[in-house]
Amino acid sequence: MSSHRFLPTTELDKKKLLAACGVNSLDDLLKGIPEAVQYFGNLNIGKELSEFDIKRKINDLLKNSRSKNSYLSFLGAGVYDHYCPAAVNQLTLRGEFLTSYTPYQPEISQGTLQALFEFQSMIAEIFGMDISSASHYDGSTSLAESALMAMRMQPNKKRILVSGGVHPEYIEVLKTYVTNLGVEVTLVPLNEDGKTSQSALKSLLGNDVAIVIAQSPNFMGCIEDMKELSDLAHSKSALFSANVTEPLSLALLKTPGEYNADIATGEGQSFGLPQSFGGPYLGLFTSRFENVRQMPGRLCGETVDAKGRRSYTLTLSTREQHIRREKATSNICTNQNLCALWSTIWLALVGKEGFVHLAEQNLAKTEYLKSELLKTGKAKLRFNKSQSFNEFVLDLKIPSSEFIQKCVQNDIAPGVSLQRFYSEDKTGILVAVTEKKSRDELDKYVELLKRFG
Amino acid sequence: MSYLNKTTSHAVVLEEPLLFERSHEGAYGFGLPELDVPKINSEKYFGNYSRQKKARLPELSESEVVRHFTRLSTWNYAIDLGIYPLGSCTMKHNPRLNEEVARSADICELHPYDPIQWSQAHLQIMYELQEDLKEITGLKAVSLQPSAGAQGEFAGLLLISAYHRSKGKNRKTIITADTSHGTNPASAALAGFNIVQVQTGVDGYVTLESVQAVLNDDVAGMMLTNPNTLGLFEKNIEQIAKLLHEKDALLYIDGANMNAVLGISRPGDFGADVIHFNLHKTFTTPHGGGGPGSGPIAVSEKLVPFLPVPLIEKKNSEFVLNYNSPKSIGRVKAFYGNFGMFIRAWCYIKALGAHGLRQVSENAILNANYIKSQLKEVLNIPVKGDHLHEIIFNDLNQKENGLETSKLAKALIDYGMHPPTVYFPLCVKNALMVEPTETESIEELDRFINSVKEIIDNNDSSTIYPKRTFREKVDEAKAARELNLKFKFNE
Repeated sequence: MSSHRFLPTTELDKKKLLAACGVNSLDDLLKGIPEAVQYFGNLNIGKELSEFDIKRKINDLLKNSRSKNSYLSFLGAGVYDHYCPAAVNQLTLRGEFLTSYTPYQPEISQGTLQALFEFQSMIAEIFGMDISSASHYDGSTSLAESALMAMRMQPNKKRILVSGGVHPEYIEVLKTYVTNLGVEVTLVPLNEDGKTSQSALKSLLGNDVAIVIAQSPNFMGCIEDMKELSDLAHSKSALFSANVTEPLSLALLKTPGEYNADIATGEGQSFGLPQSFGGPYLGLFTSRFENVRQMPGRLCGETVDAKGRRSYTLTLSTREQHIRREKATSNICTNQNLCALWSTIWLALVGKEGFVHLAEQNLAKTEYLKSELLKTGKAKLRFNKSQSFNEFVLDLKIPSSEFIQKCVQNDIAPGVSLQRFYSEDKTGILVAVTEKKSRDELDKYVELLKRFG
Repeated sequence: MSYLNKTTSHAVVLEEPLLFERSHEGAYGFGLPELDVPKINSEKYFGNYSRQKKARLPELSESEVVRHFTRLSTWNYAIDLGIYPLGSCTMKHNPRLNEEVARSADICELHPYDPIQWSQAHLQIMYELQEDLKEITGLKAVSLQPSAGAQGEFAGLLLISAYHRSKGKNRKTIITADTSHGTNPASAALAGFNIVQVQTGVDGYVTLESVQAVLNDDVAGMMLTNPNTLGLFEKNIEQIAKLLHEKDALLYIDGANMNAVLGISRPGDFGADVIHFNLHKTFTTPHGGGGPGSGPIAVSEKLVPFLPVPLIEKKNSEFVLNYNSPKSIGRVKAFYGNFGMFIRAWCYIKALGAHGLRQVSENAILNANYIKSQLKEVLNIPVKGDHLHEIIFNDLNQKENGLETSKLAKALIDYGMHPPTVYFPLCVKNALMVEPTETESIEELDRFINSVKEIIDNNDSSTIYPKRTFREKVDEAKAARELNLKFKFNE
């Protein structure tokens, strides 16, 4: 008998192994642990369970969460419900991808490495930027690392300007990352159209600003004047970093490369990853080629093998923690490889034309819902002068909490309450619409607004 | 050469170009339902904001995409294929139930901002995982938020700095050991600390004297991996903790090697103030070719007030997100952490239970010591001692035969297995760090042992390994020199 289904060593094997080690019992192998710090109790974490037990437990538990198919969700705010073809899940279940380590031994990791090279190529192409890293933890940490990269490139500058249109949780992460670095983070407010105020940016800019960070579509769903913001930043020789939490929008919108961003980051969850209650997601990080040595995170590059055949390997590892230790460009080690693979497969299936069609459906459905909601007369679009992609702020006539509660009772999550982030905002909800919503479902939302708005 | 007849064979392995090279105009692998609302002319709608040129994504049918990635997958080695003895990386079997559960729709399709009353099961899973990790470490509280081990380190160090700041002190130094992972000093630098490194004694342990020598009022804390990366349990750990605490400095434990001590020793019991886990190591969430990981931290009483927000708490019978923690360091990532990893780790811990977890560590230790017993005659063990879950060799005995660490590692690939971690820890010259884990059978351990022995016996100085892989030795220098980081389209 072995002691557990995960453990191949039987009692008989154990005896053989102990004998080969020249000891009588396992305790003899533990004598390097001082007795005073050995634990002799029984951990209070229950008995072992069979697979069947665990499944039953999970199914019992799940009665306390809503089943996804039992309600309609219009939640976005940095996490979007896009369709993912079946092939993606099944290919990422292949053990050769799923159960391999970071490809430090390129000769036996060419599968992972070629996929990473394809990932970097597609992300750089979508962002219109020279180069992409092989992934970061998520959008929020990519954004924070873009600020750190800017500080490394201009060590004498101690200020960071971040648009108030950036996802508020990302801003919190940025502030955490620079806690002890003697850097000042200042928020650039939004104007009445829901876009970063250019006049405020002008007055805040100075030669001590290392980087200006803005997001488009921004947290309010508005398309920003990124070109103008980028030019303003550059006019004071600050770097400009663009953040894109809904990168599907880049199928239709001007790319960070087109408006001269120095760094562009984003959240890759939109490229087919499940919403997964907040993670794991996929940090995107792109930059200009000339700054490659200041990039954080892994990079995969093309090379040849001993026979001259095209091959891939992780490269510029002299930037990384396992070589440079405290002088590394980032402390990142494990990143989001399987998520990068996931999105690479998703993008390959969606393809050149599909990417545009998908984005156009998002736009069309969002515009349809906007216009139908307006017709009810029960709510306004808060930023009706600004364009949006697949998300917008609906201004209700009643408190948003009240409306949300009534919708929830009717199996609809109508949007994310802005009060969650801005306590004084009592009437705004952020509504996201993806290709997965049918016209009937959109009409159902409109009915609820008519009834409860 | 005899090794040609061994465990690897040339199976059907196909060449496969890049997606872009396979692309042919008009093909697609993703169909959308017909648009049931009026179409919008996006160029007109966006005007000046419009993208000028379509992104040149590949054009391929589903069958081509499936084949492409299946072919790619056959070029990878993986734990599903055989032993993967990477020291300090804990490459062990990933139970498949965890994968099935984690990918089921009701688990993985919830939105992080879904109404709290619709997310109770998810929050309960997080809460229970926190409780289990508290019990396993003997510490007071857990945050699941950090994305991976390195981010756990960063978060833990920010807690330490917040602790000192709350006492009006601005301590700027972190002590690390020369056996530490590169992430330790990198994380400390990111958290704004200066780093002082102590040297491990010849017997493989950090000594009290070496800590005493650098300990002063500027020291915020010390980072130690325990068991350390030589596979040894820091025998002075309790005294080191006391020494640090006398100066109000805190002890950070890098939990990368927790697989050695589950149910055997608890960091909280020997004075740790903060430890990070790597769920992708100890608790079998798949490494995925380099993530996603998850790096929860467990902390002592002193650091509880500073934990990242939101806290996952149980109020009466309800699970809630608590953002009201005025001393918190804030967030280290958006949302709540890598939930997809939490559910897998939760399943794993439930599957094993208290007894099973201890068995995991015991068998991991037994397997490592078996390899040690079988190879100690042929490979040098630079630091003797009571090794736990991993054993560090080097090439001292073999170098004169022309078999350096790197060559031995690459030769193992031709025997059909992943090499051990090499040239780490840095305090050992030309190290080979072997961590077999508990999920390898005697047969598989013997396959590794016999392969090492055969490589030594048949060593021929002119051979360059690997020779039998899909790609032979890859030119890493050329990659760094030329920096081709993406596909070049024909303009």
